[in-house]
Amino acid sequence: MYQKKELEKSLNNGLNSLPEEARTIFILRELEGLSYDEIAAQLNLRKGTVSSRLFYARQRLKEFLERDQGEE
Amino acid sequence: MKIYRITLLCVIIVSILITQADEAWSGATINLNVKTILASQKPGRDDPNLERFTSGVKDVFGYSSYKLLSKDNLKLNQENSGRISLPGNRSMKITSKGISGDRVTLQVEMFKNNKQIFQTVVRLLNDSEVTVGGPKHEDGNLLINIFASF
Amino acid sequence: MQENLSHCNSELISRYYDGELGQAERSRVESHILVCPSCNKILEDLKGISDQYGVHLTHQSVGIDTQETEKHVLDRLRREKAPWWAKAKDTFLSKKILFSATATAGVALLLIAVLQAPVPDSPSAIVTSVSGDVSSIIILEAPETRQTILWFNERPEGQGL
Repeated sequence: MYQKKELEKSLNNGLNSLPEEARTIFILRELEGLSYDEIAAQLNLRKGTVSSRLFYARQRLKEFLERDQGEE
Repeated sequence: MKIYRITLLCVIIVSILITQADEAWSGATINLNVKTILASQKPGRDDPNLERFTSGVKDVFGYSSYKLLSKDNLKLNQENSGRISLPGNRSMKITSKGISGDRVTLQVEMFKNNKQIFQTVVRLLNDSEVTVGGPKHEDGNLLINIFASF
Repeated sequence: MQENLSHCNSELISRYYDGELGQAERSRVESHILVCPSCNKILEDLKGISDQYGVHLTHQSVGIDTQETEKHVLDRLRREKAPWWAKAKDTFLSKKILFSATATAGVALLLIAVLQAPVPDSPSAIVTSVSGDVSSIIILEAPETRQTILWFNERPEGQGL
């Protein structure tokens, strides 16, 4: 239970560490399952921008979680 | 926002095109048909070459007759001048200042003894005329009718 | 630690993971992943992040108006199924193009009106300047033809300014 709460906190912190745009794109992809075209239309961005921001978000989250959970 | 930039770009492009179209017209040649007319109170037959002119000014002037003294044709481009000799050691110089919209800007100068005595700048409609008068000559007055087409 | 994978494209793997590649490119990446441990690791990491956040993310916790998002997606699907003329109308009437077209047309009309001739019945000549060493100057207009007439009286000989 404690570990689960710590994990949730870590995941939240990871999301909050992202720039707003990258965070929104990540959530629209992972939660809503929108395609790159749909995300681009929603946020008035180019598709290439969506792709690179999403990749960046995933990289940052992976590094954050590895660092955050590695410190425990 | 992107849409405002696109809008601004469209507006700029259209503006340039429209103003460029206007600039293109100003390169046109202006044809001037200049009639030197003697208007007098002496009764006489109206010159048939002046029928249109006479009918146009009859309500303005009280002359009895109009006589065509000379006819000149000038072809002007922007900033070009043409000179016409007039009776009584006079001359008229007409300079085109370009076309804007559907009017041509002309500077008209009257000289007597090589000295400028009168000048005017007018914006004349296409296929339209302006008349400048009236130095005294003989028993009447000189009227110089300028008809422009471009 | 990330290896420097110059022969692999990490973002391409991300797009492959999201199903955003065309068939040919997808096949190429799939073949490459099979033989490239580094790219395989990247793919596994992507799956790991999705798995963790897929469980974690809830509608309430992230505060996104998913109804608005869903409406937007449904609208797009409806438009895709509409006949071509409805799509064309929809596209033109969308605020963005209408705004742009209206603004451009408005400015174009204004410029044309300014640069074009005024109404036909106007004086033949508009006098913008007049001067002379003369005794008087009169500007007249013939009533029927609206011809502009400039009249000046020369100074008598011997008289000057």
